[in-house]
Amino acid sequence: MSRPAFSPEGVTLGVCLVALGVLWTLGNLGRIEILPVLRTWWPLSLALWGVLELVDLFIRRSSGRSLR
Amino acid sequence: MSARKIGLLILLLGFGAVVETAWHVRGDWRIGPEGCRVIGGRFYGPSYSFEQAAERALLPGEAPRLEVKNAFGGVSVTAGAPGMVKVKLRKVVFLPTEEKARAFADRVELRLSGNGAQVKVGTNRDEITRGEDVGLETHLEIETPPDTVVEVRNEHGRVDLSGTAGADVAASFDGVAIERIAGAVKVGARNGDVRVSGVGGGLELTARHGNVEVSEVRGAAKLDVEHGDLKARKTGALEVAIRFGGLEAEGVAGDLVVRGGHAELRATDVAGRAEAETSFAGIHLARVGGDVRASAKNGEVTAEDVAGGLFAETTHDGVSLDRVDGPVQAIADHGGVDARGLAKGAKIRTSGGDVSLDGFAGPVEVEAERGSARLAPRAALAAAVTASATHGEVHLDVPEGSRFDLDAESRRGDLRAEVPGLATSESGGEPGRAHRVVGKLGGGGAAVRLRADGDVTLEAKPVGPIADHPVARPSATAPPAEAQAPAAAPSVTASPKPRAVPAEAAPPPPAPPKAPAAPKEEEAPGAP
Repeated sequence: MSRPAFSPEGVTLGVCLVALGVLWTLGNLGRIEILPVLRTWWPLSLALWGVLELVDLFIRRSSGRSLR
Repeated sequence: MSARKIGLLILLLGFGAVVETAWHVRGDWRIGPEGCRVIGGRFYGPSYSFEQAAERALLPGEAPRLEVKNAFGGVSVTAGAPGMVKVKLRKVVFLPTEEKARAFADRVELRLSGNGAQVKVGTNRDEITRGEDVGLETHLEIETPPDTVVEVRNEHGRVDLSGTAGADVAASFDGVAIERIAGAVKVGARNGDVRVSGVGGGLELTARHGNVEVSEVRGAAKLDVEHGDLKARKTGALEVAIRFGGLEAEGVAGDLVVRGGHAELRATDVAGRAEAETSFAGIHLARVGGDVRASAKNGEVTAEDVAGGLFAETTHDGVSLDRVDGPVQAIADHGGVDARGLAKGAKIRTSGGDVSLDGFAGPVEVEAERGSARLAPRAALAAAVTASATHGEVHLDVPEGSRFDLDAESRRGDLRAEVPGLATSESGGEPGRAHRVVGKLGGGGAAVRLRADGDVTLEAKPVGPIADHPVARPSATAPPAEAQAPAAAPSVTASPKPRAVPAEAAPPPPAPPKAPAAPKEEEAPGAP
């Protein structure tokens, strides 16, 4: 059994955590106001996850076709 | 869909919900009207003040009556010029900007109306604030003729009243101060302290959840206080109902009647009689000109310098008396009696406590259950003495010059009668340790009967005064003349330009509100 190329939810969670950590740090440094930024951009996490799921689906189908 | 995906979806949506909620409530944590916070019934936050004034002339010849209604603001009424009522309204609007505050304040009207000698003062704050979330304080400063009878109804605001002919005040959630009132005063207060001084007539006061101070009331005072302490000084006859607090009364020119519950009662210098009852606390009386009747459940009774008779009743505590000129009756259930200087005898019954009488004259009857009795009359015995003690002893001092017929019995103890001149005939028991002795002293006289389960002892003593000093009389109790309110009913005709007072149906124009003064930004205490 081959291991999947990547896990979309794992990548999404990882990216979101990285983004949240960076934004929070910038907020603590006074560079940005964290709440407006989060409020504006948080839905992107859903979009990112959706895109990754589509990519994952595409990769799976492509690899399945080539195996045949 | 895997559990991981479901978990991540919930996590992201939850995170989004938190962010959205935080965004919506950001900077908007208000509890109460816009731009302020209501804490303890008061407004806090940035505010602006605006003032408005009005006045109204009164027709001469009739004593004016002023009715004031307000909420969320203080009311101050003082004596002013005769024939004229002057009102100043200070509007404090709690809004973040001066423009908003001014626009709101312009809608708040001072209303001054009346009919004949009756004047009504109020605002339209009820109509303005109904359905609007804006903090508004309306403070009224009123000057009225000294012969005015004033009625004030206020909530969430302090009431100060002085120098008028009469007062009827109902207030809540803030203090009340009334002074120098020529006539009668009636006060109802909730959740605030009350201070009343210098009342020429009677006083009727009801207070809940606040301390009360009353002083220099010439007439009778009827006070009903719960959940607060009461201090009364220099009053006429005083009738008090008090629960869950304490009473300190000093200088009562008439009778004192107190009904207490869970309240410590202390009274000094009472010219008339004192009647007091309470529970779970004590009663302490000093210098009473008349009779005393005191009843304390689960509390002690102490009394000193009582010119009349005394009745005291306690449970689970004792009675302590010093210098009583009249006859005494004391009952202590699960307590003892300790008395000194009883001029006209005593009738005492105790259970679970001892009796000690040090200095007495007149007939004495003592019954001690599960306790002992020690009687030291100091003066020569000339009246009947009866003392019995179950599960206790009886000891009687016999002063020189006493004359009585003795009948003493000890059921299980020793009986000693070491009194020179006492002719006795013993019976029962061994010689020198009789159970019963009958005899005469000084040729006989009043009957002295002593009974005890334990020892009975008679001991010769020298004669002395029954008390260290005579009963002290109540000190001056009438309010001093300078504390009296100004004379009522000054001439209203003294008004320089009396103006007609139109009927209430047609409100008079003489009170055109002045243009709002320059606003003054205020920052209430505790404001951020």
